[in-house]
Amino acid sequence: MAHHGNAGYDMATMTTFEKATIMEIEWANPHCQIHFDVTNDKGDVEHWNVEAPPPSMLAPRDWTRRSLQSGDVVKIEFHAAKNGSPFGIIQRVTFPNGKILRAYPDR
Amino acid sequence: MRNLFLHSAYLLLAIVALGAAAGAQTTPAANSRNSKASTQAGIPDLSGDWGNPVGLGGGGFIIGDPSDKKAGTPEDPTPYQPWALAKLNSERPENGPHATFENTTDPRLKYCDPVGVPRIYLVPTQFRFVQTPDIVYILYQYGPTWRPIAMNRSHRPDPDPTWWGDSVGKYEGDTLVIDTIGFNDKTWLDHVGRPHSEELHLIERFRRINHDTLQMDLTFDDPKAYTKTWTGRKIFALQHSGFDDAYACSMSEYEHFRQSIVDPVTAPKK
Repeated sequence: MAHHGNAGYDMATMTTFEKATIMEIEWANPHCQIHFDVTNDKGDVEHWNVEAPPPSMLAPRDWTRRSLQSGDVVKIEFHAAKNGSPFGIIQRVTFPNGKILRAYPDR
Repeated sequence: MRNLFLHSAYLLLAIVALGAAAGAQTTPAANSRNSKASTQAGIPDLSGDWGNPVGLGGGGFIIGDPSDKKAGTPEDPTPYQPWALAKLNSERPENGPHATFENTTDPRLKYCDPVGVPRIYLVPTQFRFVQTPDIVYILYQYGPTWRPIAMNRSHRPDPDPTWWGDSVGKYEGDTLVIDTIGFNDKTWLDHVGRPHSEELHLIERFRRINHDTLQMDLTFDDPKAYTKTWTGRKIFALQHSGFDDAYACSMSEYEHFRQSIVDPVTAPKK
């Protein structure tokens, strides 16, 4: 459960980017934010921002504020905003070595 | 004010004592999963950090026995007085059947108001008990906040209405029973916006049903807002991640979050 509800997101659909380049992680209340770039089918770079649980919830799930570093390329799975804007709520991140960090328990 | 200073002093002493004990040796309960959950003189051992069972998605809220998805609907058995039902259905919460992502009326989100009790148990953060003979302190990661529960005495006469009320406690066998009156009427009982009046009389019953599991039973008695007494239950799991990251509600941080996430997510579809 998030600090607020998830009414703004399409919780029935998981959006996956196989190669997302981390730009920044904001380690803050009420929610952390993960900014990343992806290259779309046209070759254009899109900037995305997804919310994550607060530090008090991420820490027990093995996250730290240094878990994602600027420049890291990871697989990212999230629920996107219903209105089509480049925002979402994170589900999990998979690193190239196979390590998975879950922001919420698998649904 | 004097009481506040006394409580603070007791709390400091309790924390120092707890820290010294933790540094000297691990508690029996932490050492043995089969330990009988009791301490000296038959006082139940509620030690440990308690939080939502991770496998249940972190939320896991059962109260009254309507799911939150039914709150305020015809299937909701909560015995509302008419004004209380109307107030619930006029709110703009971010959870429940009327969930909305914008223009919330939730006092916690809109103003960072104290979240109050029992709603604090729905916030996915942890809490722990510090059991001293005269006062049981509950330390909440959210806030961080603490409540003093005066043991084995009556309520103060005609307490002023406050965010956390006037709490007294006692042990009944293996159960810690907390009786609270003297609430103001500014908090929600839960995330969907169930209201209450200043007449709320809340009873929390905490029982460690096994080493790793804490059960909380709630009784709501508020004749001004509800036609009869009703109940709720929540289960907590022993946590092992530490209690280090306090969750502070900050309006400036929330405003930043609103601007960078809530506003674009709630903007009309292009």
